[in-house]
Amino acid sequence: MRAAGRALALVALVAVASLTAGTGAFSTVAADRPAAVVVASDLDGAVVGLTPGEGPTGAFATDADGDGTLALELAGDASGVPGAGPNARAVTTLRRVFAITNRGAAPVGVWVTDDGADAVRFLATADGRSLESRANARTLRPGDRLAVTVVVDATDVPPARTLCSRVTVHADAAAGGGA
Amino acid sequence: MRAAGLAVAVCLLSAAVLAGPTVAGFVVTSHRTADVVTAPDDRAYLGVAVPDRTLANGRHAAVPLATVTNRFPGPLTSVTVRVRDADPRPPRLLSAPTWTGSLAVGERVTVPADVVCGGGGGPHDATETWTVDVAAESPDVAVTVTRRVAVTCEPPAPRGPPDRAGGPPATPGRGRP
Repeated sequence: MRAAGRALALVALVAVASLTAGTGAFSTVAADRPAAVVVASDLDGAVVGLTPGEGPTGAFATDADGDGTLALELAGDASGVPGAGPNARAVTTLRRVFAITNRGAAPVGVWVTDDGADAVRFLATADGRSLESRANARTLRPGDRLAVTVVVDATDVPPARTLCSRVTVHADAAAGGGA
Repeated sequence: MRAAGLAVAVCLLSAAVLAGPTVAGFVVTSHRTADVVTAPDDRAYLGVAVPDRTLANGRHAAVPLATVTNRFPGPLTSVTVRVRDADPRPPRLLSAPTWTGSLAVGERVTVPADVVCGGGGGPHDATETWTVDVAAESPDVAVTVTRRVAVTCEPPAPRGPPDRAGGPPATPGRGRP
């Protein structure tokens, strides 16, 4: 009986540990069932994966902190990028900066927003269409990968001006029925 | 035996919870840090230098007007630099210089132009502002930059010091031996 109790305690500990593993990637998760909290690395574990682009511009999307979350770095701190940022008073287009992957088992609609003004825009690299707002959500079937282009329109912006400090990637299964 | 059954139940419940978002009906909102800050041309991804020029009266070959540097993380496969002068009066471009080529990471190119100052009946110390258009592309990058460069023609230097020997003044138009 004592051995069975120990076994039960061990199993319970393992179960609790597995439920709490990998915290830090998604800031909020809402599910239609109780306590469906799954947190994992952007790079390899999350249901909606965020990974650097496959080309040279993938250097602008980094996990510099090593915490499993991707960050958009267009200010001179990106490794392997000689420049200090996009030109002021110019338009810079960076294709395939990062990718969104549906690692789940159901289609999902994804879109991207940011806290800046219109100076920073997010487009689907494949067709150049906007990914901003839920109305522009792009459906990803299980296993689909969407490359994202970042456009910095600093036509009337002087140097040393912060254009964006937060990017939000939204994924909603309810928005996954469209094209 | 009851304990073993309970353990199995706990495992099954854990597995079910972990598998939750892989089935339909979930919303994920992932906030991520972004740092997007504009940079001056001398440090930006596309380096552009268009220093103002002051030129003496006459004709000048291969005046460096614009220098472009690739500071992106990958090569630029198509770079076009074009200098435009809308005013026909001096200073003026003898031809509209255009450079097209590619730039590796860290590589730079300086675009020269043939410029003439003076002549044409205009003032010798005129200043004009020319336009420099730079368009750079690669499969992963596209950037367009338009900058202005001021070109000034200096007035002609005096023909020589005044005669201090007390002799007769030099005859205009003849010069000194």
